[in-house]
Amino acid sequence: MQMRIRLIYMCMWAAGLGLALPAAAAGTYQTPAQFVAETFGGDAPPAQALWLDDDVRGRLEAVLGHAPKMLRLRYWAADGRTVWILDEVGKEQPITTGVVVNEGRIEELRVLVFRESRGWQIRYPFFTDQFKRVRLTEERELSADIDGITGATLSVRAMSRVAKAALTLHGIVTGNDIKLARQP
Amino acid sequence: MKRRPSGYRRLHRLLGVSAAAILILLVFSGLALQHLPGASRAYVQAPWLLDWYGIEAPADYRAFAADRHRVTRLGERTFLDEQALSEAMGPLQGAAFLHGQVAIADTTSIWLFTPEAALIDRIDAPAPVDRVGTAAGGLVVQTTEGLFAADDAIIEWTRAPAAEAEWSRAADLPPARLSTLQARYLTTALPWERVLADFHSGRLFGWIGRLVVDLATVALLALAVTGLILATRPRRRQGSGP
Repeated sequence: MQMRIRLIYMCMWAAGLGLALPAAAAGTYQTPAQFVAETFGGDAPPAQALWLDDDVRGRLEAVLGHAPKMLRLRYWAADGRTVWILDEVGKEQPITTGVVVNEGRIEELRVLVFRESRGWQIRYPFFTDQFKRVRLTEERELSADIDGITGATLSVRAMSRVAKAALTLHGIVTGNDIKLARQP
Repeated sequence: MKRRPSGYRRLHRLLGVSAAAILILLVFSGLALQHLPGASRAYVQAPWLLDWYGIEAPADYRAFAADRHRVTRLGERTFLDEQALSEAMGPLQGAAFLHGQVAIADTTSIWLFTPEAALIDRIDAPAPVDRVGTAAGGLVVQTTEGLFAADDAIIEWTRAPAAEAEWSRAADLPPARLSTLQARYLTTALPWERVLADFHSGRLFGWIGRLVVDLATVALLALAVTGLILATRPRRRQGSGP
């Protein structure tokens, strides 16, 4: 009898714990303008526009798994670095991400705006730091494995797609798409 | 002699039989919500179901002319000519046509579209937008912080001196065009995912539906508890003792 009651209490406690987990913290962590300014030390170059012709759209579709939504993408470039602000849907809402690429490798990847109720853990450095120094392989995959986060699978995958897209775009605008990225 | 089932067993059976039908529906609707990927992108077309939800197309609209194009805000939807734009825009502040592009201003952004309603880009406005127009062949916006002009590529903004601008003006829609837009509005007003969720929660049938689902949920909890009790009680050996 005692054992049975303890077992029932344990099950109810476990169920209550699941209900009590707090809703995730969606929000704007940094505006794109702030991210660009910070990247260039307050002296950001003028934005440029990359028009997505069929070739570029094809390359982006290969890494994103879907056609890009817009017909052009703005970026900032100076001293061999490019900065991209990309929106990619996690589960249902777009995640706005800033990516800095330098010499074919990711220098910084940062979640700027997160709009969903789950998966917000991707904004923290313990996750985004995994993308530093990552480049694209010949097969257009990331050169490092990215550890996932339980409960944030779709957001994690979105970030991987964003990383691949930014690396592809960097290669296109610098004329070094994949092939000339420095080897470790 | 056959032993009478214990109180817990009788209760367990009664709960299972009473709640079975509702629980089965909840299982299927729950699975559909979890695993039907297209439910959020498929919309109800049946007039009776739209009526059930009290969904009607708005009668009021705000429209702007952009050369020979019309940009219309109907409810929370924005249309370029007769094409519904899928992007979530804020309140419409104006529209302009230049360099072969339709520039649509809401309060915080300038959205660039091709005349065929393909999205080119979205640019943050330098400050909250009051109105948009053209001056000297370029795009200008009147904001709460003054007048700004876009560069030729409509990427960057610079402060502009006061200038003669052709400002976007509100336009009237012919009744036939308004009817068409209202019909288009209704075709994307109610996603099936919402209907499934309301069915699953009982909300689709008002307070009675919610009460029935609540009772079925409590019955499910009681089934789990009585089931645990029955599973953990020691079994009596047959033929043992008086």
